[in-house]
Amino acid sequence: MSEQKQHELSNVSLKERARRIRINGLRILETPGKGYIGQTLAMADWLAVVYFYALNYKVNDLEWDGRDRFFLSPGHLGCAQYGALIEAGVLPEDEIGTYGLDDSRFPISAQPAYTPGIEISGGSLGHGLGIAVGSAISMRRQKKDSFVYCVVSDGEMNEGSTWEAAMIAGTQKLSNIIGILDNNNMQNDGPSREVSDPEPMFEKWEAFGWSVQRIDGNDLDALCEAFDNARNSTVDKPRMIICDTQMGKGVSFIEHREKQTHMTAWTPDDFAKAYEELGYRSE
Amino acid sequence: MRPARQQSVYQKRIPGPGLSTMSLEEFESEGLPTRPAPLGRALCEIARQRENVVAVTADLYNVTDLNQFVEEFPDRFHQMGISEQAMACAAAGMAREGDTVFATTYAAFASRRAYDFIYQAVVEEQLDVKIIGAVPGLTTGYGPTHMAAEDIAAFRAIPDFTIVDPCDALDTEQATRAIAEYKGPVYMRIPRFHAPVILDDYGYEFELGKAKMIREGNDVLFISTGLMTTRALLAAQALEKENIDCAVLHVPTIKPLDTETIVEACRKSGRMVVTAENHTVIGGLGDAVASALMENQVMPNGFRKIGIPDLFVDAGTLQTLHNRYGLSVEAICTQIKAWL
Repeated sequence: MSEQKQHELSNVSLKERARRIRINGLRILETPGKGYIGQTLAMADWLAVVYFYALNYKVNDLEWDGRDRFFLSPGHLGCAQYGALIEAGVLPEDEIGTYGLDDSRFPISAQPAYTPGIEISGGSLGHGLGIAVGSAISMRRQKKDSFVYCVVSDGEMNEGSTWEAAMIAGTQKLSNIIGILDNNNMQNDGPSREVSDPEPMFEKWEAFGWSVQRIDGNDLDALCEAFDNARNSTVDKPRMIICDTQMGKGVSFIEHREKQTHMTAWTPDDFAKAYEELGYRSE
Repeated sequence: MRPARQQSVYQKRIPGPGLSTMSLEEFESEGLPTRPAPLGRALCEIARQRENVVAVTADLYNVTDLNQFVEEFPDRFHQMGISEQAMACAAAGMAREGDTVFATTYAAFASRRAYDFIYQAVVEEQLDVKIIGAVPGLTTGYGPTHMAAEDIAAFRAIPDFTIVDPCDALDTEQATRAIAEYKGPVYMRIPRFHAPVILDDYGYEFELGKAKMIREGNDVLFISTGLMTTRALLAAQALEKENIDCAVLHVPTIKPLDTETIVEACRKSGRMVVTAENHTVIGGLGDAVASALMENQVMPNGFRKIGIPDLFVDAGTLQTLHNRYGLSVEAICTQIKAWL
């Protein structure tokens, strides 16, 4: 068994991984008491599948050249990725309370200079997919057979540079890119459909030369199947998995809250209620 | 009706010579000998030695001197289309995989359109990407749309970004080799096509980060970069006939600035210091030199900046525009005589 796949030996279910990632994410966001709470909860399921099913990496050798690359283009959602990296054993749990503070390894927007396991600086939107294109081109020329996973958000589809990169990837048939489009239909100023409508997403990516799947991004079985399809496909095209996710997923009192802004502020009671629902009690 | 554009003081004094059919090459070389495609030829030499040297472009390979590279190394050339933002990111991604990436476009598009992408994807992460800006400063008659009058000012503000503005074919060839050796992000503006050759006669050698005194003189010290070093040398030759003795200190690396050499040259008493750059007088070499002198308590015998004035320049023929805005050899000589 190769070292990088050791995490697959665990008996912990993906459902449990996702639950812990949600808890980690909330604990991280509890430090400022506000932040990308709805998004973090929405992303937890596909993050669990990425880190505990799909991604090929070594916990103890993050620079391993044979790893799959994982780029988070919306870097401000680093809080969610930190939660997953903690669950994966890459980052230590005891630094959770430092999020956003001076000298923390968990800055609000994820940057590789600060955090092991973070590969790019995203955050200024529209960068990630272009970087993935370059990495994919060089990896192909250098005959590396890893994948570049790149997360883009539905809001990021507003950025022209995302489509520049999509067009290049399609033209160059970069079949070693697996895009993950986190579609929670929410951006800073409101629902994405109302701010600058990214739909129809499936048809757009397909028209740009991508092989596209669209799934419920909170359905673990669907996610595993989609990543299997993306990895095993022989189609000579970059692959996109559009994950329709639910803001606040897993915490009932915000799952269906009508208005969920980017910077949701929670009271200590809100956190306590959410922990109770997720079966976590702080000491 | 839109208001009339602001006009430079200089514009009123020197009328343009009228329509000119002079090509860019003829214009840039001022009748000097030329060598073709200095960047492209040097890059091919480097690529023959190093397999990890690659090039990308945003639909401008043939006008950024990459023709030979594309032909010789088709598998190491990647076309990104008219997408400067994605090109900067892709270059970053390639450098992440160990490649040394030369990314070419026009200087205006690199600096104004792709700024955030160069800033964050490339420079913040100190990746081995060389952004190559063709048609820098006032080397196109298209007007402000295609002109990069402010690229140096913009990029100077980015921390840890090396900025190089070579003067002629020799300088460009040597600078290309030097920046390929240097591991980190660099912005280089280039002369292209049949580039002028002037420094061969001066025993000059490019060193990254170093200013070089290429002509001594007691009355005026030109501190110049890029195309304007060619002009400063030609102006110095012309002024010599009128008993005005000009030194030329060539500063091909704008950042990091060789403050030591510049300050030392300016300490020499009695010389008027004149900076000359193919760039707006805001935030470029002139401002960098002025700042270095003030910080080192050096007060030369006069200080003047020659460069593109702080206005949206006219479209037109280059010969006219360089006269109009004070960048031509003739205009430099006129200004120097007025200032002395």
